[in-house]
Amino acid sequence: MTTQASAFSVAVPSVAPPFRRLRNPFLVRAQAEPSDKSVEIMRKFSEQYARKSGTYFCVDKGVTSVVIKGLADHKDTLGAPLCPCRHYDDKAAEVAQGFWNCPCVPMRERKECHCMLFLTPDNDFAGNEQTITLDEIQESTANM
Amino acid sequence: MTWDGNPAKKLGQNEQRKEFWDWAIGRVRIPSSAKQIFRHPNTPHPSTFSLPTMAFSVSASASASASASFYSERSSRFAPSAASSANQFSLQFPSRTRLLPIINPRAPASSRPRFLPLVQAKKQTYNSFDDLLANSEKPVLVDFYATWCGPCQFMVPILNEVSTRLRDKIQVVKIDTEKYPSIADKYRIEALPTFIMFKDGEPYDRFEGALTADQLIERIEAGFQVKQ
Repeated sequence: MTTQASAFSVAVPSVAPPFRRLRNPFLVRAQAEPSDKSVEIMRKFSEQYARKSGTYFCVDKGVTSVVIKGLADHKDTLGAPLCPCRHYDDKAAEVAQGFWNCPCVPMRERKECHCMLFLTPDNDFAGNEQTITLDEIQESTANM
Repeated sequence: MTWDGNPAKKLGQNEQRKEFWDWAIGRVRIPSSAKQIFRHPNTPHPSTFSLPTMAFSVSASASASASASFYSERSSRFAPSAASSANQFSLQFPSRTRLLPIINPRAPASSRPRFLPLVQAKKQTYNSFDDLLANSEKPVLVDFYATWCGPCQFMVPILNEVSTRLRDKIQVVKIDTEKYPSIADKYRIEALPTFIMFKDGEPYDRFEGALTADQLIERIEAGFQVKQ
C-alpha cells in the first residue's frame, strides 16, 4: 500500500562527536512507529470488538492495519487509543473527555466508524472477516 | 582549520560537552561576524528550527521541482566555493543531517532529494499555504490527512489517479495535519480525510471521508458546475 509518510532520521556524522564516552550511535528517528506491545493489544481489541458488535474489517486490510497502528500510537503517546482519523486541538483534553477514545461514542451508539475499522455488513467496503493477524498488519504497513 | 579559516581550537571537557549538545539539538556556533553574510533575510535564527518549515507535497503536472527552496539558496551562499572548487572544509557540525537547515556543503540541496519521493507528488516549498493558494491558476483540491489514518492512506492511490485524469483542471495538495496543525485549525478540520476545494484562495466545496476515484471526480466536476 503506498503511503504518504516519510521516515526522518538524523545520520551519525562521519566526524566523531567530541563526547567520546557515549558509544551510542545517535540515531534519532521521529516517533513514527508504535510499540509492538501496543499494536498487539489494539489488534486483540479490534478483533474482539468486531465480534462483539457484529461488524467486519475492510476488504482492504491495509486500512485496518493503519488504523490499528494509529490506535497503538495514540495509546503509546497519550495513554488512551484516541481515534487516529481526527484532528484535535488538544489531544490530552480529548483523552480526558473520552468521546473519541476507541470505541468512540458514535461507534458505541450507532456503529458508525469513519476510520473504516469496524464496518457494518451493508457497507460497500466491508469484507467478511473479523480477524487480522500481526503478520498482515506488519506487511501492509511495511513501507510506512 | 575550521570552515572560517581559523585554526581549530583545542576544547576542554566542558566545552566539548557544550559543543556536542549544541550539535545534538541543532544549534550551531557561528561567529557573530559571519552571521551577516550567511543569514538569509527571511530566515529565523537556527536555534528556533525544529522541522523544515512550510514544505508541502504538491502533485503538480507542470513545473520543475524541488530545488526552488530557500534552503538551497542559503547553501549556495554558505559554501560558495565548496561546490565549485575541490577544497575540503573541515566542519564543526555534522555533515549529514536532514532535519537541520544548516547545509551540507558536500551535497548541494538541489542534487539530493530532501525527502523520499512521495508517490508522484512534486515537492515545492512555499512561504505559506496562502501563498500556494494565491499563486495557483487552477482550482486546488486540498487533502488534509494524518499518517495513521486508514482512509487517508486508502486515498493515496486514488488521489494519484484523479490528479492524472484531471491533470489540467485541478492541482492536488496534501497537508499533514500533524505537521501543520495551525492550518488544520484555521480551516476547522475535524474528521480525516477532509477535502477542501479552493478557487482563488477561497474554499468553495468541502467534504469528508474516503471515496472511490469516480465518486471523487464526480464531486470535483460538480463543484466546477456550481462555480460557473
